Amino acid sequence: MNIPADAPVQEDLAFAPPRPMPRRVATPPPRPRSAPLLWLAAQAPDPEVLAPARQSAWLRRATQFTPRVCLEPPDALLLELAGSRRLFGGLAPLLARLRESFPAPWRLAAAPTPLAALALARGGRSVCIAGPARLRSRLAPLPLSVLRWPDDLLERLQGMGVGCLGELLRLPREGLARRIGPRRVRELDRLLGAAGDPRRPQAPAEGFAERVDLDVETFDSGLVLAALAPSLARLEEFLRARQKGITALRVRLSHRSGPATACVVRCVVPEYHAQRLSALLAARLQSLLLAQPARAASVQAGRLCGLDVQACGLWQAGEQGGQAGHRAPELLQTLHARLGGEAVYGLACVAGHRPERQWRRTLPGLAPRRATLLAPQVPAARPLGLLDPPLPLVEQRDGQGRVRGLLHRGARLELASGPERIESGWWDGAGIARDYYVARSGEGALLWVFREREGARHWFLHGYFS
Amino acid sequence: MLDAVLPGGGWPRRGLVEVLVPASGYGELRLWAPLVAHLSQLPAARWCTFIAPPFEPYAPAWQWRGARVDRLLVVRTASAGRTHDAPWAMEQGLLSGACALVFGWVDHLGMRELRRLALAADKGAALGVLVRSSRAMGEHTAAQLRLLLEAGNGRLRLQLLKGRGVMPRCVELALP
Repeated sequence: MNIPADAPVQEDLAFAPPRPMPRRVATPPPRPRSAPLLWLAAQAPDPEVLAPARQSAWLRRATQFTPRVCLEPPDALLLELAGSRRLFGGLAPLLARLRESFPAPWRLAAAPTPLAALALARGGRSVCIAGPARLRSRLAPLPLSVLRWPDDLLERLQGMGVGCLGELLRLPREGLARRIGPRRVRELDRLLGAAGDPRRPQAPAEGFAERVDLDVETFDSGLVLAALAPSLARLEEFLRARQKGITALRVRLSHRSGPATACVVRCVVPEYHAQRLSALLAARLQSLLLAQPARAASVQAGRLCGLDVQACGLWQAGEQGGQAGHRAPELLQTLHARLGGEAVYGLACVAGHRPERQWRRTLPGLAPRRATLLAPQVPAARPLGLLDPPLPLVEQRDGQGRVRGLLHRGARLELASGPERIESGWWDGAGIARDYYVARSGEGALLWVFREREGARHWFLHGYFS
Repeated sequence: MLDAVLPGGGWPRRGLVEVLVPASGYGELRLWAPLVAHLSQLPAARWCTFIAPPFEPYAPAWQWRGARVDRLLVVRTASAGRTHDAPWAMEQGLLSGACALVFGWVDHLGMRELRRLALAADKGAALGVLVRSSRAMGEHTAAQLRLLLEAGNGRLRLQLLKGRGVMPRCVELALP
């Protein structure tokens, strides 16, 4: 049976004759000890196709037909198909589907032993030999090079007048073992199925990387995103099948010249959803400044993490006691992706006396430590908004250099209350010695201002009571 | 006293409110501090988010006013040339459903952006508070409530410019 390059294969194997209806219940025929195997060798048109960086996609593609997939370096894959025949409705549909997945430059050949399938594929014979009966005769015309033996050995055999596999297989076994070594003879046994050839199926590498060439060179992040959409959908499939999520997605945009532009989409919680990843990526790409138009894009999933599978609430957040809980990380992710990690932060109180050190930025949503919950150590006269760093005020001085008035945005300030002296931090080099006042501007705004007690004794605006 | 004049007897819980101020520091935050305190103390409190504030929200002062500071979220947007980030972040915050209250210090908004924000607030069951310069007074708005804050003579004057079911009117509040 031939496997044509494009058309689905027609099974020309002899159909088993219809079994006569049994007259009486007969003892079932003894089952064969193990089902005969059928190996399909898929030889890549170019060893580069199965280079380590790119083989995982092909391995994945092969594993949709059978879990028993082996990599045969440098250029071939082996798929054991016997277990999958029924699943795909027979050998012919299965082979047709395989041909669709491994299109024309790939050479496909199937045989009961892996080595025979490889030899047939490497010899350019797109055939399917389902049983061992015709194996020897179909292998016979193949040149010796399909065995991928060392060159000197092949030359020696050529010198012996052996030109094809059939002639090699005809030679007496004892003499052959002396001339080419018992290892090679055992290989021939495995080729013909006289010896077993167990193979360990290869698990596809746990990772996801794909590359897409863009139709046009573009600056438009929307186009890049659209081109990557199928890859993201496959990524979701990949992650769903493993119940995994990723916290980092690396995207590289390559250009006509110069280094590729790389960006990383980071997720706060493991994410698998193509749509959400795409939204994050969109935000990230929009903030990316490209020096040159992109001509190709590649995505690579970061480390796979276990998914924290949660039940979803019945109510939307904000409704009827619906919680923000599981929606909150998504917002953070979206903001992170576009604005960067530094741009989003939570607040926490810190015990201390220096106003600018009584708070700090934290990761959003962290519950505060008990101590800070208990003790609000600050008096009422603290502004809701602090300026960091403090803003120098315009000072109006009289003839002797004494400060007579303060201006903020062109309006005169009046001191309403104060001073409150804050003097602290002399021990760590960032000490302050200030007199704080509440000031009211002519326009009516309430401000928190201070005057340095040392040095130039300048006035500063430190916060808005707003 | 303010509750009495607001439509519905208090601040709305969803929708878009615009507060126009001549400049920062006119009490725009003090007006909202009780609401922030209330919302952040709820058992399943959502975030109160500050988008691009012209200052750092000062955690001790918020805590003193009764807010839970771990429910406050600050989002900074890079200012240089990227004016779309702040409205975008505000829309995301409103839409997400993870925020109860989103303050945005966003100027230069068109009607289209305002409508988007109002829709987002409605969809995410959140209240958006836009703090804008009082220069925007003449522009149309999609917000359901528009207030103008002015201060003078030790009192805070609050003008209700637009609101559902209210006549434009003016309230004076005492400054502490």
